[in-house]
Amino acid sequence: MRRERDPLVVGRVIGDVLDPFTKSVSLRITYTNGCREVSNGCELKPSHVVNQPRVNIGGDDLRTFYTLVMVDPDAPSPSDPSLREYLHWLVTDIPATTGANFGQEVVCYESPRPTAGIHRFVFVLFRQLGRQTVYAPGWRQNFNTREFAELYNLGLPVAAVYFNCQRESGSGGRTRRE
Amino acid sequence: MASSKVVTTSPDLPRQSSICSLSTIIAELQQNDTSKTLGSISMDELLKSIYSSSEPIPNQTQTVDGGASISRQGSLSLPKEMSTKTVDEVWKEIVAGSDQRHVGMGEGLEEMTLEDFLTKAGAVREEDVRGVSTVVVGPGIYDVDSGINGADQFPMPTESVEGSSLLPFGKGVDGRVVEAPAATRRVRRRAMEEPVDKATQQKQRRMIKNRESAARSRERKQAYTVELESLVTHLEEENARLLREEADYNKERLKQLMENLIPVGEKLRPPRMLRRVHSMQW
Repeated sequence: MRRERDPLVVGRVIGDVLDPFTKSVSLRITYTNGCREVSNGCELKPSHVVNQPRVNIGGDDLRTFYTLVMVDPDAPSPSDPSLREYLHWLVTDIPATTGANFGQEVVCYESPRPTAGIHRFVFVLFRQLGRQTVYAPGWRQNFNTREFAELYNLGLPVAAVYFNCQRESGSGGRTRRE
Repeated sequence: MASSKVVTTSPDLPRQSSICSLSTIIAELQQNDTSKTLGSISMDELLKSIYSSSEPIPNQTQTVDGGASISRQGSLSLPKEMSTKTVDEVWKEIVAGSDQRHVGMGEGLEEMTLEDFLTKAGAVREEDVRGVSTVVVGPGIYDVDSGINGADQFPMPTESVEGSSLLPFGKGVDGRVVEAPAATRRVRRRAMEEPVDKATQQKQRRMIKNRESAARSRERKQAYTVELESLVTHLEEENARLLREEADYNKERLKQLMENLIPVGEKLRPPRMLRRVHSMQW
């Protein structure tokens, strides 16, 4: 069996949220609450991700703008993702080589608070064709990144990274309903 | 509950009719089978076959009674469900068994449809009972071992035949690839009134959810490992590159310093005078 070498595919981010793409721009997400840089599949606690992270985008031309989306495809629980995907953050018009502070925060950062199971939280970076007005969706749940990209002509992502997060006290134990 | 959710994707149809559609697919497949024997059939072909077979047949709602009458009915909910739950359809195909072997299953497939299938399984009559034998060791999946272990428990429940038909699905749950046996497997329909059934169904549901959770966990672990491995190779390369650069830089610097030193070294000390010319005599 061919070993899959892309953690995004193994973690099924490509599939559940995104289509296969080629990474072309560097994307570094760092939660300063503990100097934790996000690497695919790493586990962070809700207390670490309370505040929005520092975002560093690559690229070379300050005139190119990027959109950053953060979604939770496992809302409300990975075994029953009826609210897939839950939009946590949406920033547009980020100039290359800068960070999210330089862009337009269309949907403000909502701190992840998983209640059931271990959720994946995905950051996706799209390249914009130019500066564009992006309208915030009416609600955060049932967001569809693919459709969003199509709607605003963003094409395929240029970078993505994800981390896992579960309840502060862990996900084990029986729930009372059974 | 996930099972109920799947059913509601076809809201205008009563539950039984979607069950009916399941067996209709079986019937359809049987009729259209000749072209699809053996070999691996891609998911796309499967879906196409479902749609092509379902289109000409009008909507019908049925109650789940005589298996014979149901098997002749057209399937309806498929096109609707297509847009949202194509994977479910494929799953039903697999359930139908037929002569298909490999079916790639999308994510989340097992999470909803297997549960759904099992709850329906109690209500759908099995038309042909075949041995479970060839099932499975569904390879192609990273994690079959747990599936195999779990399968042993499957035949325990009272629905014996159902247990046999469930066996392969149990194994298939935690993997993305399900291997249907060469022999066709049907779903057994049975009256739902017995409370014993419900208890065992609950158990099965829980077992499935556990399996899925285990599969997700393995996936997570593997994704993390892959990421770390790639990070390691990347960092090693960078490290080697940087070390080389540093060495080169140091060499260059040393060379430059040497060049600057030499002229100083070659400068002669002022020649000694034998006569006192630099000091004054009082």
